[in-house]
Amino acid sequence: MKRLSDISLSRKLAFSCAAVVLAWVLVEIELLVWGWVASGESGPQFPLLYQAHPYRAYAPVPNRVDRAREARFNSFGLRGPEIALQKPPNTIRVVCLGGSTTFGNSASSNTRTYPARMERLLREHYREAPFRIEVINAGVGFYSSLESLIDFETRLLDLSPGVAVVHHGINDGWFMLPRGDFRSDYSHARRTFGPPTRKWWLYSPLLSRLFGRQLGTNLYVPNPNPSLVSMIFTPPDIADRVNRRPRSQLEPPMVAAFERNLRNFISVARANGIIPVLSTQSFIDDTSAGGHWIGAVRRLNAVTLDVAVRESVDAIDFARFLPWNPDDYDDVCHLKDTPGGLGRQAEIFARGLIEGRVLERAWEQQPARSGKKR
Amino acid sequence: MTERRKTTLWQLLGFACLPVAALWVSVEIVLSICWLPSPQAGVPPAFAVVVKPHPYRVYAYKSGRTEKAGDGVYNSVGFRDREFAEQKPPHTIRIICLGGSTTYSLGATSNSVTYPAYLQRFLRQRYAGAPFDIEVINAGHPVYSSLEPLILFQTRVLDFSPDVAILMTGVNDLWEALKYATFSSDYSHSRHTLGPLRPAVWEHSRLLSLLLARATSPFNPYRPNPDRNLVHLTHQPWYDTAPSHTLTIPLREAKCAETVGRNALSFVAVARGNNVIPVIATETFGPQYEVFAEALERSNETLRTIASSQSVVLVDVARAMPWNAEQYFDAVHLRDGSETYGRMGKLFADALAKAGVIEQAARNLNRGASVH
Repeated sequence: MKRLSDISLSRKLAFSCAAVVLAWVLVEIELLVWGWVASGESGPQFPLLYQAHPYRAYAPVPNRVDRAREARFNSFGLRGPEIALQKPPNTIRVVCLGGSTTFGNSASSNTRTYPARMERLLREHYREAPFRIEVINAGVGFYSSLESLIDFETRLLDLSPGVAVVHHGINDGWFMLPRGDFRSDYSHARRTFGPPTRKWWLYSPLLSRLFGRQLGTNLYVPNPNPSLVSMIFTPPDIADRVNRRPRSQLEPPMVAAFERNLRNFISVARANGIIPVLSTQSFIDDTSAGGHWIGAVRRLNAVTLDVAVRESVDAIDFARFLPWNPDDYDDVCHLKDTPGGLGRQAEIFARGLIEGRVLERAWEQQPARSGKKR
Repeated sequence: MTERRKTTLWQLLGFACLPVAALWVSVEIVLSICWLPSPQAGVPPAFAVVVKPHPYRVYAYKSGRTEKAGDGVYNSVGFRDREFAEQKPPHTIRIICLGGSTTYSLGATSNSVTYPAYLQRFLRQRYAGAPFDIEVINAGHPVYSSLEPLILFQTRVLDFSPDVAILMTGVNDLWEALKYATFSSDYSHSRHTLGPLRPAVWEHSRLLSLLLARATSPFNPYRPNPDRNLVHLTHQPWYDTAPSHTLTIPLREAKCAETVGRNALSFVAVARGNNVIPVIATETFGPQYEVFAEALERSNETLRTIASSQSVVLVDVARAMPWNAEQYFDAVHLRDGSETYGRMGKLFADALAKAGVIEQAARNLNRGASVH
């Protein structure tokens, strides 16, 4: 039998390397098998809740569940219970359009978003009315006024809504403030949804578990809160550009684009017998950090109110009723899932619709009051 | 005599794979000797040079490109037209023509012989002594249905302060309604954003390109598939013979007409909301595909109803220029010439003049209503 000292150094090294590689391979195989067994028959999948859309860049996948937020998308890809395409008789449908503040980023279930809470409040208020109320949450995270307008025109009109509430401004500012070219069709910043490139080492279950815990592209340790940002904005990541050196204020073409989207929304709504309602948004006061964001949101809020006055449209000045405060807001713009947060948001919107007699007007202008599709 | 060595499983597998790999490599080598790359290799199809994906309207034209000598030349906005100032010059009536390939004027051999170009010529002749100039802009894009022109109109065209907007649509919507097993009125069942304009990885293999000839892209270096054009690159594969069809033909026709009508109504609303005079036009389809022709007639009828109910000027191309083999080179597109696109330009010019559209636009100009 050979003694250890008889074996050459190069052989010793080769054996050591082979042992390490063999151990690695075994661990990788074990983790791979474990991952497949743990995730069921389909094997591990990216936690993609969204898919590419030819006209809105991206859209929620129908019937998918976002377990991180307990958000369930129905067969239309809307966060809420199943609804019929054909509006039921004697029903007024209220569609809530917006981004994550409508979707309900902090809402712990579909029933705790502002549209769901508002539906309960309105049903309670109009319990004696001859009509039933259905509130549809058409909010999608990161949607700007442009995506919501396209969604409204190409799909939501088919649901025969009687009222459409728009809650936008912050995400439009997100398109506008970063330095560089601005195009009024937002094509300078938005790209059609696609998964970000996966780093080579994320194909290894071991390295993924050791070093890739926060990455949205990690197949083996799925990020519970995958960021959409890298999948829907043109590289370099718009967030980087915002954080580096944003514009100090919005330029006239940017303001004009937002105003144009709102006015087009009003025109299309009215042409289809739908009552449009505009609203402002609240944002953290970042004056100490330069005040770029709050300045932009205030400017766009002013545009919203101005358009509402000029077009004689109902407006809910949400930013005035519930300005940002650390008790009610989870982060810079999303309300907490509390009575003072999302509960208060629903109350403000419900009160706006009630005081403006919006639902009564929608009922009066229903074509046959029988739920017949317009 | 040496003892015979025992063959392990790994060695067996290795020996089994080796001949297959060797055979593949040798076939590839033989093919590379006797099957040289196509003369078109490395030369992408004409359309691929000038298009780019767009997040909201499937594809757009790159600015300042030329498709091929004499054909489509795209200005800095990405329209098949001459250069124009984004800021409308004073005392100018700007007319924008929206639509698909019939507006783009597929078959017209240069930008100056498209229907919008003829329309501009006829209107300028007719209003030669008027105190305003007339500018007609071709914003047509092949493959665009009734949906993309609506998005293009409200996201880009409004920046150019048009006074009149003409939407000619219907034909391309048939594709979405009639060729697929399912139907979604936002066309997400059939459309996708323009795909990558390069060959797939497997297409670099001569052997696979030979074996899978039917699946090659127009960018295949050995067997480019010329039949796969912009339509294919912006659509999901269609299965018009699939047994899983859930919609009957009449229902498809109805849904198609309903969707075209909805989009046309939104177009009218957006136009009027921006002080633009809307004009709607029908389209023609040849008798080659009866189902398509019948479905288009239904969409045309919907457009006629909308024009009548909304008091919008209608240019009924389907009735004024029905299909005939002399003027159309396929089921939809006119041949190049003054008797074809020239006639269409004249048809639009006469319709606008008869309806007093130019006079109304001139009055709007004077009131400053078209200053956005």
